[in-house]
Amino acid sequence: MTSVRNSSAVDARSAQEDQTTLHVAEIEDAVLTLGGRTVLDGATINLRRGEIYVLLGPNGSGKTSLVRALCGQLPLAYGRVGIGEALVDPRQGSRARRLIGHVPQRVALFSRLTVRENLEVFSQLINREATRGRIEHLLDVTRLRSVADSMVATLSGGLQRRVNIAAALVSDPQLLLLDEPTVGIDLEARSAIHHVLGDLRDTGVAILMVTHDFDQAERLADRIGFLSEGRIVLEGRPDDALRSTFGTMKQIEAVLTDRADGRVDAALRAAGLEPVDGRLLWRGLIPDAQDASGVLMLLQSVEAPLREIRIREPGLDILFRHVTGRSLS
Amino acid sequence: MTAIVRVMFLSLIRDRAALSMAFALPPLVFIVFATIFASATGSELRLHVGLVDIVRTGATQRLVAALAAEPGIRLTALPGGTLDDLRGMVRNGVVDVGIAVQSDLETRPGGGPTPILVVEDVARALAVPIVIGHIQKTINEHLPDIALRRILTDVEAAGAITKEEREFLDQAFQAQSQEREGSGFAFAALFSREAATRIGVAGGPVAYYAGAIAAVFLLFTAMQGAATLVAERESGIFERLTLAPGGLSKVVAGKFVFLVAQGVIQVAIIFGFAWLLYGVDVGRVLPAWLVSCTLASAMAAGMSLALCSLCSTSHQAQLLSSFGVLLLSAVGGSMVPRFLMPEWLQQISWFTPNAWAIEAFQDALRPVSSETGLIAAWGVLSAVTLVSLFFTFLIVRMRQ
Repeated sequence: MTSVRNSSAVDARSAQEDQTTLHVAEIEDAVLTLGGRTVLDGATINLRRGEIYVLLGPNGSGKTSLVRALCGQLPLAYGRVGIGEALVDPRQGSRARRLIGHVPQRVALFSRLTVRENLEVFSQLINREATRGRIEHLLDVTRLRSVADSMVATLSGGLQRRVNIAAALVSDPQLLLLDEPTVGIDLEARSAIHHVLGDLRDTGVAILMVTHDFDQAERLADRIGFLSEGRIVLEGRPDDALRSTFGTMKQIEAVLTDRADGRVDAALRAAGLEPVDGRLLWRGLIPDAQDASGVLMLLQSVEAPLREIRIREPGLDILFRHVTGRSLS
Repeated sequence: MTAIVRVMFLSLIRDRAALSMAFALPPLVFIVFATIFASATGSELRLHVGLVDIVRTGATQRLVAALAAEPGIRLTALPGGTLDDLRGMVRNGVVDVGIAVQSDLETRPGGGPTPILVVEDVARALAVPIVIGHIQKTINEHLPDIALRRILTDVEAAGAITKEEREFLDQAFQAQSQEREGSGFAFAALFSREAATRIGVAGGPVAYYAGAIAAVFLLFTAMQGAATLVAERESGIFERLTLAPGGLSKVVAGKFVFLVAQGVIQVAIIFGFAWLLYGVDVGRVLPAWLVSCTLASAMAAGMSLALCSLCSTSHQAQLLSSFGVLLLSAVGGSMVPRFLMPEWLQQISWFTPNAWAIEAFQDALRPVSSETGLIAAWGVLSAVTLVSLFFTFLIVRMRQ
């Protein structure tokens, strides 16, 4: 496992936090086999009060299974699951499960009911009759007061996503699980959801978010975890993970106006770049920003159809590829 | 559970199409069916009969007059018409059946053509025995002297009576016929009618169709409501609720309670129209009818939930709710009364919920004379409901 936790700086910080921060959920050494296939292979995650943990991994890496195991919905062949301050196994009792709020990837709401009615109904269904005050509070927290009496079917996708989150909060959970909470919505709506999640973190809720969106992870995550082949292969604060992995290296991106021919392809690869997006976007790492001029000269020498060269700090996408050897797509 | 009842209620009243389907369409379809089938199978059946009297004897003219007065047929006589004219009318669908009186009514076999030739359209073969029945009834009731003379002709030919005795009887029959218009003959008193039920089912065949249409729409709307199980699973609501203690069981229970309540209201509306328009008096048997209504609704709700719990997609649920319900309704007697079906199909129909629901409604309307049948129907409906609910909870739990 390539783990940021192995680096001395991050380890020291994590150890300190482990002692001072309360865990509200954990899954440890989880081994899960489904249909003869090992889906989780020793995955371990600890979730702390008041943090956003973003779990990243390609399709089939075991993200959904890990979340379901955390909810006690899948029987582990080996390992331990605990929810709440007492870390009670959710398979042992409904009280532990009630501490979890689950936001499914799809908008799981009653579309012909209003926002307020949805919150009331979900509250009744999970055996926790929310008071009027609690519902009003949730409408404020999720910034839905202005549409509280609108039918869900009439709301925009972004607002429906926020109601989706609000419905998971009616049980006053200690742990909020979100599966791709911003799929298919515009930037403004996404930003609004980020604000909501930030507010929730500030109230002490632990948030585990599963996503394919590196940009979202960088912006929101207190900690990230890379899941590959059923194991957490990297975990830590995004900045720490990037710094400890790449040091002062920079990320270089070459944007072409046309597909690279054989000569250009060879030159790009020689410069350490790899195709990312339909062979028009190439990405790589350089030791320093000044090394970009060498790459530029090399590409000009082969008359590469170059539109743009970008230099930036390495992001989680390149870190993921660096650690796992594969991209999310 | 009450939360899901509330969801189902609000979703229904905010979906005008579903609301119409649940409460406006059933009485409309009932009225159409009742109008069509009450006239087709009940006392209002009046076949259109064309008639040509080729021989025009006194006896045949009496027959034509009597048939014209017969309420069960609508007679179009063709004075001066020919047999070909009559065939043309039948062929062109102007009349359902043609009657040609082609020889005297006392003509014996071998003595010429049969007195009455029935011209039929094979597409309306069912009309022939009905018309023949009407003719025989008319002869028995209005021309009994003719009927007896036909018998006497046979007896006379056999040598059992003398010519003098025959003449005496002919005169006696003629006198009796003229004086008492046939009512003195035994033939005229051969039939009388009585309802088998102590409490008559007011509305007659319409009462049957009220139950039959109710059974169809109970299944249709229950399937529509139960299909929300699939939609909610697809939308992720189930995924969210699996975390809640007993969440999905509450969903199933809530849907069941709502669908039963919806069914009771729906059936009440249909029978309400049956009472207003056709005089089907439910008030006299209200307790029994209410039990039948509740159990039929429960059966429809339970079965629909069980079937939808098996469906993986909304598309599957839609197919089941359309073709499945239509098939069950056709075999179960909701389209055509079971007694008109072939024997083998009648036996199969006992495996459909419609047949038992219709039995329950029918027997509830005449509870005194058919307690055994009513209790059997209630028992089957209850058993189907319980088994279906058990199955639904099991499947939902397994999928969870």
